[in-house]
Amino acid sequence: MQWYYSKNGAQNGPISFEELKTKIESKEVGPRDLVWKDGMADWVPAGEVADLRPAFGVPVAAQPAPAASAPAAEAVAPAAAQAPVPGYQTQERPLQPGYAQAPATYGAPVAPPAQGMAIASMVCGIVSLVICCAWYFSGPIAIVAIVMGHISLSRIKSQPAQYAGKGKAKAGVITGYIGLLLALIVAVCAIFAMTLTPEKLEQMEFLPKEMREQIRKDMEKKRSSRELIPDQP
Amino acid sequence: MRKWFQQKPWTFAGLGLFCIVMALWPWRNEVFALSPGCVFYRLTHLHCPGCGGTRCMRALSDGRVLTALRMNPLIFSALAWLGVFWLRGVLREWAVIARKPLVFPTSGGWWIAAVVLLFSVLRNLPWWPFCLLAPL
Repeated sequence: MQWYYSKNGAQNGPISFEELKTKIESKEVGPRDLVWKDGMADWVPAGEVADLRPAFGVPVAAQPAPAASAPAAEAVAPAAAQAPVPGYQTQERPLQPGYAQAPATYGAPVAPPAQGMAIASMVCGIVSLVICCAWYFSGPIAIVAIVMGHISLSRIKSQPAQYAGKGKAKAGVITGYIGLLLALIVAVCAIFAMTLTPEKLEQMEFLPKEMREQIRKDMEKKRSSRELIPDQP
Repeated sequence: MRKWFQQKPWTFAGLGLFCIVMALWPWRNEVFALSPGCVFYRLTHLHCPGCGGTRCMRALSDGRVLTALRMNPLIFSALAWLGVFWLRGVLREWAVIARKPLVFPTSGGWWIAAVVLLFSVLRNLPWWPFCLLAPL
């Protein structure tokens, strides 16, 4: 069976199951890195795949018994599999029994990890970034993106079996913060401009007068040529 | 309903959006007229990355695809990407394709921000290839 693994957003593979196990044992693939093989609905954290649990358990089992023989390690492995990594107390998952118990039935209707909020956060972040000139829209949307992004990031961290989409949630947070910053800058400028009289505003324009005239003329020319196309202004 | 949404979220979201658009379709001109003029543009004469977005949507709703592309290439291509990903999600849900799902890179957010900011700088340059990006 061909396995793929993903580290930091880059996809690697295909590799065999044995190779993947070797990579896990050499710590090249951690329990939170995503793996996928044909028939799985979506990428899942390697620590959630029942077949791979022993590979994570081996180093833990080797620690307490320095002179552990192979059978002894075998005996400890199931116990270690109960908690392969601290914080992975998601053994009983009523939502996704397929992942924990029967990896052979991966094609079965098993719900993939939810990433709706991460996608929503990313969409809100991009929208807030793009419409930054309308600060009264983009500011609130950016805050929504930041809040949803942080919520889904913390959910992905605490319940990796149920929630996915780390890159998307991160993108939502990043674009949300930049959108909020731009919205604040535009808002400050706009509110400042509202307090000025039109004459003062004219003096504030940062391009020299001749240049503005030139730009205006160019625009008029372009606009009049565009009038030929039936279009709204 | 909830279970169905969990199993086929892409199909469900697409149908919902389609219903909303169809419900608003007879009043689309009124909806577009709701969007206020841009104060930022009036003050600075700069095009922000979303400038021309309403005109882009309006042109699309009238079926003038080239005008839509001309008004805001960024929003146009973002919509095209969204359409591709939505279609991919729907086809995967109905098991038409079973290809390897894509992993969104963790640095993706920085790339998106960089593209949007670069676009907003380029479309304000007054020289030939860049002024095509301005919605005029």
